[in-house]
Amino acid sequence: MIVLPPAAAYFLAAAVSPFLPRPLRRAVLVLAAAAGLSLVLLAPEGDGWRFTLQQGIELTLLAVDPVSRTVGSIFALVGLFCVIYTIDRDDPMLHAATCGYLGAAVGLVFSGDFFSLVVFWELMAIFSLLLIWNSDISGAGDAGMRYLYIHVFGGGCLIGGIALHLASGGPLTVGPVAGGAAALLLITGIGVNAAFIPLHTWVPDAYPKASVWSAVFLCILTTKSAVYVLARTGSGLEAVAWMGGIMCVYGAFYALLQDDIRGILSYSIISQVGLMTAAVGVGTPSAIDAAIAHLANDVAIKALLFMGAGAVILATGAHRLQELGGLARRMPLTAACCAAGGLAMAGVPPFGGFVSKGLVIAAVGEAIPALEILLLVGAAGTVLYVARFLYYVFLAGEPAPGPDEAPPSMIVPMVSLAVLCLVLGTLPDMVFDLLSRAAVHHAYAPSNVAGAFGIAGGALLVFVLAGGAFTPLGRDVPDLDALTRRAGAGFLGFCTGPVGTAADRIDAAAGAAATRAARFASNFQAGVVIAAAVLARPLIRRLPGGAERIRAIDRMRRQFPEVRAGRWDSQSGVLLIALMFLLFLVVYLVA
Amino acid sequence: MIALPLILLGLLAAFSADALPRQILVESAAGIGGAALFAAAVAAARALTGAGGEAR
Repeated sequence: MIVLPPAAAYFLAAAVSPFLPRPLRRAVLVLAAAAGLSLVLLAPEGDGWRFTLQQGIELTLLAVDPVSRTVGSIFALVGLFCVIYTIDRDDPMLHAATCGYLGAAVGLVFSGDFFSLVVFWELMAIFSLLLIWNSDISGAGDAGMRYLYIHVFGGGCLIGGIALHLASGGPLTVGPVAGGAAALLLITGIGVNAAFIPLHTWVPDAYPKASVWSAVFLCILTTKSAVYVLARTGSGLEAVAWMGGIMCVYGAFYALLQDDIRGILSYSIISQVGLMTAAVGVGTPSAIDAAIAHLANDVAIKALLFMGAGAVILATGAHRLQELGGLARRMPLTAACCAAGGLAMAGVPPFGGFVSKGLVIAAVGEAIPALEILLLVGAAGTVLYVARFLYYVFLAGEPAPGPDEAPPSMIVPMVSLAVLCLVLGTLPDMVFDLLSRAAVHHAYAPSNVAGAFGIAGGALLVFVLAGGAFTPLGRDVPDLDALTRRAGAGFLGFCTGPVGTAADRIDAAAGAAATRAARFASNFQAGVVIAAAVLARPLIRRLPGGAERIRAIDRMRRQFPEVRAGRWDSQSGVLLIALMFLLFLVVYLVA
Repeated sequence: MIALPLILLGLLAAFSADALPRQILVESAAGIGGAALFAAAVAAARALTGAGGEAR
């Protein structure tokens, strides 16, 4: 059986759906997402859809192995839920961009060669940028521009790394890239999308400003696909593992300093991607499996929590912890779904995050014990920001009056994802069966369960005892991008201030010179005669009848450019051209 | 809320091998210690940046 590349279903929907009437468009979107998932599940193991370009470049559009199928399946499955979440929104451009974004992400996962990988990588950047700009929220335009700048830089680094890899004789097939400049550039490019510190600021900058509907797609695809590419090309580097540890703690710390609920979740993305990055950096088979398992869990968790946050924002019109509270009474189903997602992210049994987070920490601990401590601290931070999010949105205070529970098109995918989080936790072999090389993990060994409750219980105790440190904030605490934005504003001020003034003056001077030159050129011969006479005026004055000659020169000046001088013959012109050539020769020889 | 995991921990500790209590202690200490570090750092950051806030 010939199976199309799954990306084709999404791209077809992206191309066709904007031109369809609304009911038909909704059907096409859901069918395309379901078809994409089916194609991922049906795709045969091995390489398929191979083409050779004229330049000898061999493309592989459907490279299927247990890892790519796992990541592709979770993208397609959660993508289907995200499509359902947005289905009531009458916005053809939103739907086209989401389908294109999903298609690019799934296409990237199944790319067997670097050429296709780069194409899908850039398509992801373009479609995600469209999703950020498809927003009424203040600041979305500027955030999109900053997103564009950083991703142009990241894409350039990725392409540069791959080009160096190929130039040094490396294969076009997607695989590990040898060390040196190629690996450095490649990992920097991937690091932009994976939100390595300090290249991370686009995540909390752009995601909270994206529309409710766009954000559910943005939060699952870009960072996770970067982790996948990192696992394919740059695993087993200790520096990368330590970067993951730093991201884990840094993200948790800043999540606690946000008041925007999607700001909290954005920093949570950085923290959880840090866990995956640490495991990929360790690079052992068990660590890679753990990273992929955590990737799968985090895709489901983040989609669920961003959906919940979106439902809260649409129901209340508020997006800050200070303005929210007590919503569990008004929106019990949304609250229950967010609680499931939060518990999964905090690593509490029996949710999926418990299994994969435990595997990640154990795998990292075997290779780099000191890094395990960092990840455990980050895990405690995760419990804190999850508790803060759930408490101040759903429990504390009185709910503001307004409409109740989210509509069914939002509730259905949220409940489905909550169930998925539970299934990924209670049937961990479901993930690890797809990763065929993984051994059977005893995730529910009493020591693992006890350890998870130990961390969660300990952190909760601190949350209760030190509650004052975690109350809603008057404003978000600035991150590193506050410095870069200030530097950027200073640079712009310098450009529009001193540099602009200097440019204006140079422009005015050049304009005046050009005006004089044009006036001079309007009667070139007379101008030359007058200029020479003016320069020679001291000599002319001493000549017999000098005074009369000076008066004649002044008359000529007053009458210029109408005054006429004697015509020059052609020999003079030839002489002038010869002199210019001579001048050119001198300059050439001297320089 | 805190009691539930503590009760579960106690039950697990009672019915499991010797290594388990140590694991519980280590992970609980990591949870409490890590969270306490975050609490201190967050309080310092809030004070330094004047981010304000309110108790509910």
